[in-house]
Amino acid sequence: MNCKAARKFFSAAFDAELSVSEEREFKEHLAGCSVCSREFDLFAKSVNLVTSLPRPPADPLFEQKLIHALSAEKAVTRRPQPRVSLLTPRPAVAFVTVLVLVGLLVMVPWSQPDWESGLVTRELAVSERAMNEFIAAQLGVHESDNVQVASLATSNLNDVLDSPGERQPISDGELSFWVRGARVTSTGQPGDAISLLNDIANRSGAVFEIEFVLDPFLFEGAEVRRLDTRPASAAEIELVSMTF
Amino acid sequence: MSDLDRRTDEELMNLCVEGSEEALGELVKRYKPRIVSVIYRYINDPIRAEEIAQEVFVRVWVHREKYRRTARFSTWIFTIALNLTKNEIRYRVRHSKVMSIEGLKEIGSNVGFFLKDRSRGPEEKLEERELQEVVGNAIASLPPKYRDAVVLRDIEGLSYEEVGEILSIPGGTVRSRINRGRLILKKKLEPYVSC
Repeated sequence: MNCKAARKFFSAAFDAELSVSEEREFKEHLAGCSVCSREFDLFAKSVNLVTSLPRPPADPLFEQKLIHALSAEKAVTRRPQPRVSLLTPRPAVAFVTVLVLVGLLVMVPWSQPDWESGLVTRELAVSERAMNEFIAAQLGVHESDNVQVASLATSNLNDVLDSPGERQPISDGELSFWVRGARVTSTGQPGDAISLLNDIANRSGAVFEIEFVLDPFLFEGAEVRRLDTRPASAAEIELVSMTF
Repeated sequence: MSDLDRRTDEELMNLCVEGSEEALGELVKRYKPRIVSVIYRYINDPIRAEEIAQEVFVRVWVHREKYRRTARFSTWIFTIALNLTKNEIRYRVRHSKVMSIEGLKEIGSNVGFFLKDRSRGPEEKLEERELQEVVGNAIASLPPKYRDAVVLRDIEGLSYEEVGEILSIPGGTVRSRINRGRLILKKKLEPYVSC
């Protein structure tokens, strides 16, 4: 074992998580390497510093406040979530949607949305195909254009999509984002949304970093949020949410 | 006298599903300090950490019927806590120009609030307070994916398996993230442990 390999084992050694053979190799290396031995000692001391941090003091009124919060929760009537539809399997419907969309594009002034308040000033419900065309038109690019491929961090999502077990199936979800002041929303499976985001990224040069979060309540969904977006200079693109 | 304190978390959760508020109370008793602690390590705001912890338990109650009986309760509640905490961080970042990692480090100075009185002299107390502040800031400044793993492992003492379940990452990734996070911390804390 060399020094680099030994340092990869520091945590596992500290937590006694090494296999018997790994532990033997690790100890042999430390016995013969004063640098790694000292590093491991410092490592252990720093971990002990972290683990010895005191817990925050308990609020004696916590339970009372919680009872109050639970009572308040019971009194809350949740507003129904409007479900913006629609993937359109039939060409005729898609065609009509595109026509409607084109009409909207003519009417919609391209102003910067109100980012601070988060108000949705204009909302368009479109099919994936129509949205692609809409975005392509706004960006002034075509599918055949050779544009820079942007990175899309989907590995975690793909892990889950590929993983068997209780988290399947992933339900239909919703993808929303802004394009030049208009909020565009699409529903479908995560794979559809990822394809769509890839399309947007490819066409615009925008970079989306997506964080994958399992829905803790359902254990069957996912929530993907924008972490950071670099809007293309030609078009402002802001991913609002992507929820499944 | 109630036998709730002898029940497993999962049994208590099943009672919650049946509507037992006493079972929720027992879960609150067991998990409140840990949930508040893990949230606090992210946002370094003791009052807000308590509020978010309350929201965690409200969600546990409201969504109790969605809890899968095959899942471990601890991973479920920590997942809820982490998600709500990250929502809080996103909200702060979005609504405050200065609430970046630097901002988090800045409010990390609150960490001294949690000093235990161990009947030491004022100088020792001050040193301890400063050291805890340094450690708190170092944790707050970790890249999120390492911070998740380190906080769950070293602050909450969860097993590698539980950390993996909560973060939805495989065992090898858990191991490497914990190691990487701790190595970063070691580098930051070295001046304080090398003497």
